Amino acid sequence: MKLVKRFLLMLLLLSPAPLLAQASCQTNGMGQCSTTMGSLQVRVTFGLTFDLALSSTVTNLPAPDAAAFNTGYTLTNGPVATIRSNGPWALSISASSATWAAVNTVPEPARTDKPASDLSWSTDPGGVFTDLSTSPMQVASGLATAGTMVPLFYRTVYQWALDTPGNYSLQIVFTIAAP
Amino acid sequence: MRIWLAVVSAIVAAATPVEAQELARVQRTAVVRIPEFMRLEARGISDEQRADGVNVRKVLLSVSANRAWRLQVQPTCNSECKVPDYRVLGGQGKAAHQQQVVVEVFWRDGDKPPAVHELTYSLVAI
Repeated sequence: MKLVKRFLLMLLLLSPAPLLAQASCQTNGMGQCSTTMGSLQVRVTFGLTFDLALSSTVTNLPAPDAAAFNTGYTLTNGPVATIRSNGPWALSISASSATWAAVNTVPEPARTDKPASDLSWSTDPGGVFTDLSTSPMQVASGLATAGTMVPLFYRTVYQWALDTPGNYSLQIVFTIAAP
Repeated sequence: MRIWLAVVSAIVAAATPVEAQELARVQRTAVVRIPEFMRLEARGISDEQRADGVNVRKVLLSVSANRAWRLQVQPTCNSECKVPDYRVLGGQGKAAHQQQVVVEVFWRDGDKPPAVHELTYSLVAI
């Protein structure tokens, strides 16, 4: 028993020694540091790193035909978002403006008040679609990932009495945030 | 006292909503070209005879269009056929869905009855 106590006492006395030896030199990031004795301590801080890639710059929505006007909408594939992150992430979607930009193609003026909500989105073509607005809405979220793919589907609303001929475009904003 | 301050600051911190840290923003565009559409549908025909002996054939049509339109009626009778008198009710309009148009065709007994095909209906953009 006495022998064990002595051993523990020796251990306590010896344990700070390596700490003293390595205190002589430290570097953080790209800083240079050298030491003639002891150990070299290198500190690297990993921030939250991410990568958001979208499969297409422009989504060409199919031009509606009379049947689409009668049905009231068209369904099409949107971009696929690929997220890489070393920490938690949340992908959100929003419209950059409340209405679509409209350019006339015939003497009849194009509709200038087509709301952003005429485009709705979903991650499941058979699922629930959510109207787009200027307020970001969460599409998906996850933890650290080497590549999570989030496919998006768009549904565009058309109404006979409102959607006059023209070229229409809507800027869609995708945002990655730490939840 | 310090303890109380710490408790208060902890409560304030908990009550303050923490906004998500935005890391990246990417903008993409959705584009669509909406062509012009005008659709004319026949909804039915009804005949009646007025008290003055004039027969009236009502041709019910329906117009769906995403632009301003006008119904054009083109008689197609040849020389053996008398072009009937007719009038169009609601024959033009703005973008609309299933807007009703009525074409009334008039003739008297003894006149050659105006068959529907003697008038050709078409929609034109205005």
